[in-house]
Amino acid sequence: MKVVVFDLWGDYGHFRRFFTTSSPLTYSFPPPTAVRGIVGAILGLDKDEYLVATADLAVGVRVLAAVKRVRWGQNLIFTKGSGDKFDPTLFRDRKGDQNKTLRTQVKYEYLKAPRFRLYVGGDAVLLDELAALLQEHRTHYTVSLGLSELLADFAYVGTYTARQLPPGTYDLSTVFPAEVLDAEHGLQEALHPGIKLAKERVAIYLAPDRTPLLYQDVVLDMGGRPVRVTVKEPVYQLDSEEVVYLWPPASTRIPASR
Amino acid sequence: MLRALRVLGVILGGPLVYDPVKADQVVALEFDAQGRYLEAKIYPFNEQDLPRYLYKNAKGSNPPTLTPTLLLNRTSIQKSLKNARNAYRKLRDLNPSLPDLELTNEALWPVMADHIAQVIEGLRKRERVLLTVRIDGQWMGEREDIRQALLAKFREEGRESVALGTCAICGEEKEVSGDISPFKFYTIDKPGYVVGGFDKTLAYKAFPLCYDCRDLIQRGRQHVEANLTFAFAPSIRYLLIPDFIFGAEAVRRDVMDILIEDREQRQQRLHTLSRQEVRRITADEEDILDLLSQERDVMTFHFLFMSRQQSREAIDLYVQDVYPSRLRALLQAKSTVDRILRLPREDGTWREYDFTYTILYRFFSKADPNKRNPDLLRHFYDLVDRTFRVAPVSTRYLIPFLMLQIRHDVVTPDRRDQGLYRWTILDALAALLFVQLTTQKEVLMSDQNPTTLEDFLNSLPALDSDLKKGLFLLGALTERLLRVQSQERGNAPFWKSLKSLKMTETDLKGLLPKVRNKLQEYDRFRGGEDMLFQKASAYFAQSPSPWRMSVDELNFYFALGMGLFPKVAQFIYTKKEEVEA
Repeated sequence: MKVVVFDLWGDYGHFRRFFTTSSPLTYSFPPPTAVRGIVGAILGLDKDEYLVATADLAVGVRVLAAVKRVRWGQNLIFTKGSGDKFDPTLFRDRKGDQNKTLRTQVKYEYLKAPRFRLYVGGDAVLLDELAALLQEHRTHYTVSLGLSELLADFAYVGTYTARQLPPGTYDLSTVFPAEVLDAEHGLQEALHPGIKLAKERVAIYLAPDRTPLLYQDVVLDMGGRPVRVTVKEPVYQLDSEEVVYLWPPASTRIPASR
Repeated sequence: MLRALRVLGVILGGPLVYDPVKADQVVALEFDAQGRYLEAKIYPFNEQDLPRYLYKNAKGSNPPTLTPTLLLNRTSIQKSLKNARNAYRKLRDLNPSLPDLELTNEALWPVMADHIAQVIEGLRKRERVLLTVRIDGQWMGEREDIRQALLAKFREEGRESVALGTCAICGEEKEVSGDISPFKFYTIDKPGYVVGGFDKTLAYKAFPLCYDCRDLIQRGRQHVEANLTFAFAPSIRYLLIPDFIFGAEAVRRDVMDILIEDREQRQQRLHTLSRQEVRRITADEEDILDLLSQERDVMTFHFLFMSRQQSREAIDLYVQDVYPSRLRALLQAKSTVDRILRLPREDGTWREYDFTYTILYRFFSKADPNKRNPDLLRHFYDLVDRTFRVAPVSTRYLIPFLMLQIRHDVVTPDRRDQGLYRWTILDALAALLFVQLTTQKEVLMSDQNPTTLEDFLNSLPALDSDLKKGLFLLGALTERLLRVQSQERGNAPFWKSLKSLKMTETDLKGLLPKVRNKLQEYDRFRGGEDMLFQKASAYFAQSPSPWRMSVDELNFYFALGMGLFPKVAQFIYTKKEEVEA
């Protein structure tokens, strides 16, 4: 399988955890669904198209810089208009709550100076186009780290051939789902000083109508180091010797009915 | 986090259909099997009987409960009867086979109220009374039909955004809703919170949760709130949520045994640990961090600091995946700080020091101690987060906050004259040391029991340059002078020369000979003072000029010397009587 690899970084990032709205927390890494969105932005795919267009791609994420978080309050426009309708007005008399609130302060959590390496694998023609655009440092839509205000820069790393490795013990550079770990020895070699594993539950696949189809607990090292684990499912080794976990193409998980 | 709570919910035996409530007495309205009202009876409240009372809070505030069990409004009993009637009516709508109680007959309320008033007569005003109904001699919780109706009631929440989908927590495909989050930091009351289209009915796409998981998470949350909520600093509490990266069954059981142990047993274990001098890191008496820090690294903790405004919940800080080893490291840092800062008393004993996060809170909560509300909490949470994650913090960032409080004490005559500023300085040093020890990968600590002044200066990680040591010694010498002045004349006019601790490099350089002169005037410039003077001069001479330190920093290291004078005195005075004042 061909794998296009590129780095993505910025000053701040925010990938909202699904169970928060009024105090948004962020994931430590862009979930696979966000990676598809980023690929879609580079290729110029509309938000209604990219999920279908990238359904045949396998994706992986590596955390390159230790995860740092910062929090601050942000003043948002209070959007509840009269009759509870959406109305982002700043006319006080049109506000829908008793106090006629114009703004609401929300405590946001952001990733500080995040840096990721993204892996996009498959055999689609799309990949050639992606690699070409990345090499020229061109995109159709501006790439961001979760929110449109958090602009991202990117750099092409290379295009590699990935070879499937059988289940075994490897130094995995990327984040991986907890369920690929061997039930008995999964983390036996990972737990040594310096490695700080974290587990975050994320949506892995979305149907074209954006309904989540699969959630997984994803494991990562907060310092961005490779983790030595024993896996019961195949992983990939690139020409660069790096061993990575790639989520299988969405098309393999989405029922034909969708 | 939610999944961890769900696991806890499962281990605890599944969802609870009732909420915990505290009361002193229970008044039951007795009905026969056909629902005819008989009488009011009073029973002593028993926590073990909670499942029978079936008290369950409603989501909003009106009606107060989902069942006719509620806290009695003793001044207006009929209001409680009305609420009970409403709650029962709603249950009966869901299960029409429930007996038609005469509770719905408003004409009977004065009689019932009268009976209730009679049975509670003589109770003290403060006693809380739970009002409930009993049908045919059975408590609410003993009747399957009522329990079923209540379960059906739970399923009514969030119907607006229900669909068939994949539950975000258990991953099963079943009926999910997008509006039943057990935590209120997920709300969809504002259109902007509903991802994609501002359409509430589609909210399930953002956070699809099944009702079973919701109930289990709630059970886990209840347990955590009752047993694993700790005070961190005044008015700041956190929930401690245990989690497992991998979830090995044996470990999970071990840890859960500890967590589910009843309070009494746990306190006993804490007691044993405290005998081994493993001290607590937070201000809470029942803190179990010590205990948990002994557990194995495959488990992690989530620290959730939440604030509540009415029904809304906001996350102030969420520290995820803290390892037990990290807790151990924090405890070790605390004991190091405690050891460095214990001060010798004149009688040869030691005054122990006890560092807690409350001390950090003191410096990082209010810019002006006279303010009513904390305005620096953002910095406090940030520091807490950094100490948990070993993220470096610059000393230059900390010192202005520490100086703010020290200066406040120095310029407030009451606090200055009572010597309270010395404890503030000590606390400031403790805060600095703790943050240094917990946020820097390596902090050099030398000699645990220094025997000379040099060793002592070298043992303080805060004094890592000649200039800092010089300022420290000058501070100690000045404190000596202030004490002498207070002793000789009852006040210490030399304070004026210290310019409310806003001295510049020039001021400090001029201060050294000034202190010496003053001490000579009082005939107290003897061996010990001379030694301090000489050493301070030597350190200053070795420091490159200009000093390149902010006014805050210069004064901070100077103040440290003032606060730690008793420690310095140990090394410069050989005879006990010379340490006077």
